[in-house]
Amino acid sequence: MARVLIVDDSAFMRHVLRGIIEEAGHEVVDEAKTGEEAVGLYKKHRPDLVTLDLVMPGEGGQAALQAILKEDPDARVIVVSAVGQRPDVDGAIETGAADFLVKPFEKETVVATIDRLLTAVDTRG
Amino acid sequence: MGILKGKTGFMGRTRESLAELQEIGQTTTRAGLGTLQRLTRTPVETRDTRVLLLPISRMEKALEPYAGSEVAARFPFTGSASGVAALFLTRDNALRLAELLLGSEQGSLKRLGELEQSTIAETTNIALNGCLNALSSRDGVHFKPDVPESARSVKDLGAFLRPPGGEAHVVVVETPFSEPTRGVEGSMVLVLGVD
Repeated sequence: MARVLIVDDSAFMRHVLRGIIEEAGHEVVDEAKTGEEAVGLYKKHRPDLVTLDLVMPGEGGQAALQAILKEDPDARVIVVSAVGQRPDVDGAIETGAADFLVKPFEKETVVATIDRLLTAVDTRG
Repeated sequence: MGILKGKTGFMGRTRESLAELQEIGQTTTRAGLGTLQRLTRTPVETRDTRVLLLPISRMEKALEPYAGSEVAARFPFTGSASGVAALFLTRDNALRLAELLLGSEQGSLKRLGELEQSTIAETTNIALNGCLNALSSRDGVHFKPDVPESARSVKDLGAFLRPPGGEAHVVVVETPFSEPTRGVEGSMVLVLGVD
């Protein structure tokens, strides 16, 4: 079971992701609406995984990603974006995001992405 | 009669421009409906897509039916063109769309709270970004969308749809859509600034 922090300014997306993650048997430790909030909650909870929306008001997802990775270089962050934001996704992967999800996503894709990252962690020991 | 049949010259260039506009309209409509369909997991259809090329001063009049819309969401974008992507719904249709996307029983939602408004804003974000992505398939074309925001009752339609680049003309792609399983109807409107 993974402990997941959801970061998204959209209440709808937080609701959808929480539903998928909890149905898959994982725990949502908290939700952040902004990048600034995300960094504080990451430090507090040290989740196994973070789902992070790239386009958010204020600092935005890219800045939050950098701050989280600075806090914990081993942080596993899945960036989330709408279709067409590929340059932002590529930038995030270059920065150190572990994987990405493109909206609208299938429940199975989210679960498979989380499972893949958890397996990679286990393999690393 | 030759001027109307020529492949080059004035009418040739006019036909090329009209073909380009038609292509923008078809690409945008196909992508927007396809993305909406993937989001709702139900069929989504359109009646008549309109593609307009107008001076910005005439945009509000041309889109008059959307003035005072009960529910709307938009996001501005920049890049190869600046513009605004928007979704317009009546309050009842917004509730039905929210019910569909939240997995709620038909008729169960009575008010548009934070979650329901967020659902409309995110639908706009996902569906209209699908349109921009389809336009981006051309070489060198890219867009940078901003954060979506929702609105209750559009008071100033001109300001709501004005491209951030301040261009004097706009191409407007208007795609009314309907989702038959819950009877949702609405319109996607993409405004592209033209220098």
